[in-house]
Amino acid sequence: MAIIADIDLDGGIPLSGAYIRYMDGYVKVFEGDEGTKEWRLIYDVAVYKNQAARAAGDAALSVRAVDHFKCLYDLDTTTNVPTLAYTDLKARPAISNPVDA
Amino acid sequence: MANTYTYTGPGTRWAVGNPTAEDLLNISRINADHLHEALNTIMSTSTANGALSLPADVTIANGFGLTIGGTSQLNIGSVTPELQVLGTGSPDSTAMLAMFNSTAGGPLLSFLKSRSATIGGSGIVGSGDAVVQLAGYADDGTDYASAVGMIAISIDGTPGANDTPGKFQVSLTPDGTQATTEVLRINNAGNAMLGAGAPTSPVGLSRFLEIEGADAGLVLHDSGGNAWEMYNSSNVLYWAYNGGTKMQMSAAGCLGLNEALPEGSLSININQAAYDDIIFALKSSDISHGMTDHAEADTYFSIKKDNVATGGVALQAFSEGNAGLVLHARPGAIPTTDTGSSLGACTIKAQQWDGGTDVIAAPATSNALAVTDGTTTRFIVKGNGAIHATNVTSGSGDLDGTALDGEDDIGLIRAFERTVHSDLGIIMSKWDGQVEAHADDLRRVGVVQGDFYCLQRMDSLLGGGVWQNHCRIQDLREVLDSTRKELTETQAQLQRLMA
Repeated sequence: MAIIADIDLDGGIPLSGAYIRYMDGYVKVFEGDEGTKEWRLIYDVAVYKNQAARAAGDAALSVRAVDHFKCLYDLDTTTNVPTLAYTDLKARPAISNPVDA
Repeated sequence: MANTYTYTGPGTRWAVGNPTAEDLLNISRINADHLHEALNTIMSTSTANGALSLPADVTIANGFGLTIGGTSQLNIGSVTPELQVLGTGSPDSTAMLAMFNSTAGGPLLSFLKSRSATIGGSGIVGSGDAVVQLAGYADDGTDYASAVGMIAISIDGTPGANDTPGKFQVSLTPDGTQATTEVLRINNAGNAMLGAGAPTSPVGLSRFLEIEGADAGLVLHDSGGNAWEMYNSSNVLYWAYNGGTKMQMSAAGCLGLNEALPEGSLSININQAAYDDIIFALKSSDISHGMTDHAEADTYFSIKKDNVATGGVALQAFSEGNAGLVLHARPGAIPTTDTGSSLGACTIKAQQWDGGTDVIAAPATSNALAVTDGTTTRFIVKGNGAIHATNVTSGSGDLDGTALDGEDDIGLIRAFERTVHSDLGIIMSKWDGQVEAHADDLRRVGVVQGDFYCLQRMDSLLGGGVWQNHCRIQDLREVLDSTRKELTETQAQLQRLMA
């Protein structure tokens, strides 16, 4: 699973049809100063020029704005981590016109 | 009477009959063929002319050899090997050991070394004694004495009963010579030396590979032909990519990234050459701050050039929370003195180039420390210690008071008046009116400097104003006293007239 979306590369160069793939992630609890606890999902994605580039084994692109993210995590969720990550990723402002691939 | 046979010579052997050895030896005129056939018949059932198949052990006395495929034994230099397989093609110059059975075992070519001078005797070997030697020689056009390489297994250390440590050595002949040089050794502990000599580990590694040479190293090639090399040259450890050095560490422990000669006795030097981006970053996957125009999302601290052309350093701290850059100064004891050389728990030294090779203290009028909001400078400490705060660009003479502290009554009152009276407070307007009216004078005496006002000069001004007020109050008191006295006298005169 992956998504295809329009993004801006570092420096503002637009890239249409970028192939964005979840790479890895983990869930961690963060404790606030007031004793609050928040569970977060931290995940990394890899960006390829397009789906064909990924299939050809080309190296991932370095894109700061589409690289590493953190979002709230519901401990009671039954959805797997990659799916949660893609859902969060598609809502990110750095991603435009995302579609599942 | 003996039987009659017809002998037709090698190739067809006996044309008629099948003579016994006795028949053969009973021939009136014995020649070599007759003897050969007789021996052959005695020892075997051989049928091919010249082939022997012996149904018992064969021994050749000490000092004699066996040559297969040749008419005499050849020499390698001055040595005449006693077992020789000589041929003109691959098959007849090939030896084979084979085992055919249902077990896991295989053929074994074994070697034995004893120090006994008697075959079959007993004499313990010594350290370094060669046990196995496999050598290769080549015809160099003049003789067969030129060595190409050798594999040897020797005693590695002092042996004893049931104690025979071994070492494995490979020697090869360098270009331009005919003698071998050791290029690989594996000692009895399983440690390897790529080079000559015993592998040694100064720190006592239990299992290691040692590479010895003027530029000893490893080459790691990828399938595309690109290579990383890690090597020791003159006791400097280098990491190079496709021949270009990327990192090196001196014997003293200085680490240089793209820096050939790191400065400092024990230091890390990073030379980013013509690059202008981040030179050092600290990251944590727990962080995703989103300020990716400046750094990757998981970078919470970075160092880069402040100005790409002139230098300076920009420390960047990124956080998802409220705390950005937090300096924790925790000395053993914080100084309490108030002298010109006093230090604080946090001390900033502001100095500038002296025009030569050194630096000098920040000049009196220079900005030793400035605080900005990223766009506008709000607070300046001058080289002489004067504190300039609050820009006044919002209007001529308009001291907006944003940097005044809570102890400044005028500032507090002004802020109060501005809030209560919608910026039309008496004190504010009076004050601002005075500031505007006397802006040039205030600037001349140093209260207003550029877009800032000087806190010390402001304090002096306010102190002077208080003193002036005091003096004027005293003057008023004297006037009042005088007036009161005159009134008293006048009142006394009125009472006298009324009486």
